[in-house]
This record gives sequence, C-alpha cells and structure tokens, in this order.
Amino acid sequence: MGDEDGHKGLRRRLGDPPVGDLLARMIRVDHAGEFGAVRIYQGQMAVLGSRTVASTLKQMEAKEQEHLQVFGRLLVERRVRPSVLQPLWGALGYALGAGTALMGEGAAMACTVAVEEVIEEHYLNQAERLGDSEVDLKATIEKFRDDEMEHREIALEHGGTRHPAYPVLGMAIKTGSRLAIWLAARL
Amino acid sequence: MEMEDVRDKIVLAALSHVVFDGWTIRSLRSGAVDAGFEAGIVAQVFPLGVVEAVEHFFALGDRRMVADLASTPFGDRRPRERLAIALRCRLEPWTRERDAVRRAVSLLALPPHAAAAARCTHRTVDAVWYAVGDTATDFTYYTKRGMLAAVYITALMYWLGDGSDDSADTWNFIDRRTAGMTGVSQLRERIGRGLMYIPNPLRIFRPKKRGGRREVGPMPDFEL
Repeated sequence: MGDEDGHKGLRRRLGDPPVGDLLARMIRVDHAGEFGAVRIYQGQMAVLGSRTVASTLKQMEAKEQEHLQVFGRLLVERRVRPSVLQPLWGALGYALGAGTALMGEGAAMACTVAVEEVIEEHYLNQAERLGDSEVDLKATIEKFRDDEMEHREIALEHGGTRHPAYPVLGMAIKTGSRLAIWLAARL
Repeated sequence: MEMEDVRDKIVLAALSHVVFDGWTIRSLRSGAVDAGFEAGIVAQVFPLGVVEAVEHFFALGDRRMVADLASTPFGDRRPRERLAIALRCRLEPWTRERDAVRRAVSLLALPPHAAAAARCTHRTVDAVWYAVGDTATDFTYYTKRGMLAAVYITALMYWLGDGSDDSADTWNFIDRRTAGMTGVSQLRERIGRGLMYIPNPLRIFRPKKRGGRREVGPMPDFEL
C-alpha cells in the first residue's frame, strides 16, 4: 500500500511513516548502530589492548569503521540527519565495551555475541522489508550482515557463550540493543 | 505543469501585491491571476492557506540559492568564506522584494506560526551546510545548524533594516558573524586538545604500557 514510484517492492506495514521517512530511518539507525559498534570495540580495546585478542578486536573494529563510513556517506547523499542521541550511543557503547571487558575476556566475547546477534537480526529484518526496492542499499545491508555474522562466529570461537554470566548478560545486552535500535531510528 | 512550478509562479507573481496587502489570500489570488491562472487555483495549490504559501516562498529562495551556488564552484575557499558567500547568495537576489520578505518574516514571527518559522529556518541552514560541502555525520551536524541559524536569522534582520548602498553593511555583518563561528570551533578544538592530556582511567587495567602516544579519535572532517 502507498508505494510510490521506484519503491514498488518496499514492504510497509500499517502505521508506518511514508517511504522516504522509512528509508531515512533505516539509514539513520544503521549509522548509529555501526557507530555504537565501533565504540564497543574501542571500549574493549581500552581494557584488553595488550592481550592477544587485541589484534582480533582491532580487525573487527576496522570492519565496523568501514561500515560506519558507508552509512555516513549514505546519510550525506540522501540528506538524512544523524541520530540526535549520537553522543549517548558513543558513551554507552564505550561503557558497554569497557565494562564487559573489565569482567574478563570471556564476558567481552559474550557481549560481542549478543550485540552481533541483534544486529544480524536487525539487518535481516531490514533486507526483508526492502523487498525488491533499493537494490544497492539491500546488497550493502546483506554484505554487512555477513560481516556481523562472521564477528559472531569469531566471538563464539573465543568462548563467548561459555561465560557463566552469558545467559543474564546476553539477555540484558540484547534487550538494551533492541531498545537502542528503536530509539535511534526515531530520534 | 508541475505542481511546484505552479506554486513558484503564483508566489512570485503575488509578491508585488504582498507589498501593499501583506500575505493574504487576496494577494495570492491576484498573483494567480497575474500568472495566468484562475484565482480559485490558490485553494488547490495552497490548501493550508497563506502560511503554506510563505513557507513555499522561503523554500523557493533556498532552491534558488542552491542552484546559484552550484553554478559557481567554491574552489579552495575556506569554509567560513563559503558560508558567507552562501548567506549572501540567499539574500541578495531578493533585494527588490525586500518588503515582501519583511512581511513574510513578520507573519512567521507570530506565535501560532512558530513551527512554520522553525521549519523555514531549518530548511535554509540545512541547505546552506549541504551546499558548502559539509559532510558532518556526528553531533556537530546539529551544532553547526544551530550556530548558523543564529547567524542567518540575525543577518536576515540586519538585511531587512539595511539602508546602505547595495546592502554592503549586511555583507560585512555576515563576514563578522561567520568569523565569530570560527572562534567557537577553534575553542572547541582547544578544549578537545586539552582533554587529550587527561589519562584514560581504563589504562591501569592494561598490564604493560605500549610505547607511543595515546590514540585520538578521528577529528571532524569539516573544520571551520
């Protein structure tokens, strides 16, 4: 319903904003999310910077930086405003990364597993809604989703889910991330 | 004809009536007739009335500014010079219509039209920042627009009351105000550099020190 030219495949649900706003929201939340991810890895590196995992963390952070730049470019190209809460995402992401890293390497990896799982689910959801429209954007999102899944695998190899706090910690982080996604799309 | 073209024509033709009658439905209807339409079309193209027409008038000015700036590349001019050029480019083409602009501003200044006024201001400063090539995607996106809004509004007021030849005083005013914005961003940079020297408390958890300086996050890519 309400599909405008060029967005035939985009799936809008009842009560959704117009197509332009919907796309703006998608890019805004993705940009904010990648920014948060970068900050999480930076926070982890601030604590674990001299351990052997540091190089892995660095690699993952570099990947997230790449994603951040792509979405940053899309923001400017499409005249989408960034999330107003960005300073908050920066502080919270860093605190989450540093906080879990202080609990140990295992907890840091548990945090990565939880976050990447939510992001992966979020990207899958977006790709699904884009349907046949916005082919380039959809390809980007799907590629990034693969990257995030890879990060999850890496964190799993490092024993992400074996940490005793994982069930509680993971649940809390997932809920928080979903709330952040909801907010960042809108504000 | 596109809806936007029709609106542009009506608003532009109405300006000469606005000078005498203010922004009223009547001057819009007269404008429509002058532009070769039926007077009744006004209710179709501006269903929300006069304020919608005024908003369209400001948006039209923004579009013209963007088009004018696109045709004259900035080259290697510094950001604050670009801003000054853009603001001048926004105001100067409307010198002959200054009275119509004044009446539009006084209409938008009324409390019930605060939202429309905010929309118009935002649209203009947003257009200026994108036109000068700004690519901020962090929080400076908002601070830049906020700072420029203050400069733009005061410049607009100054321009409305400016009796100097070719509004030379206004262009000087804009130069001074944009220079003031540079001062703010320099101050911010100094604070940022000062904060760099505060040690990272999390570092104590690192067993051994690695040589070299602390890493500093990427600086904003568009400095004034």
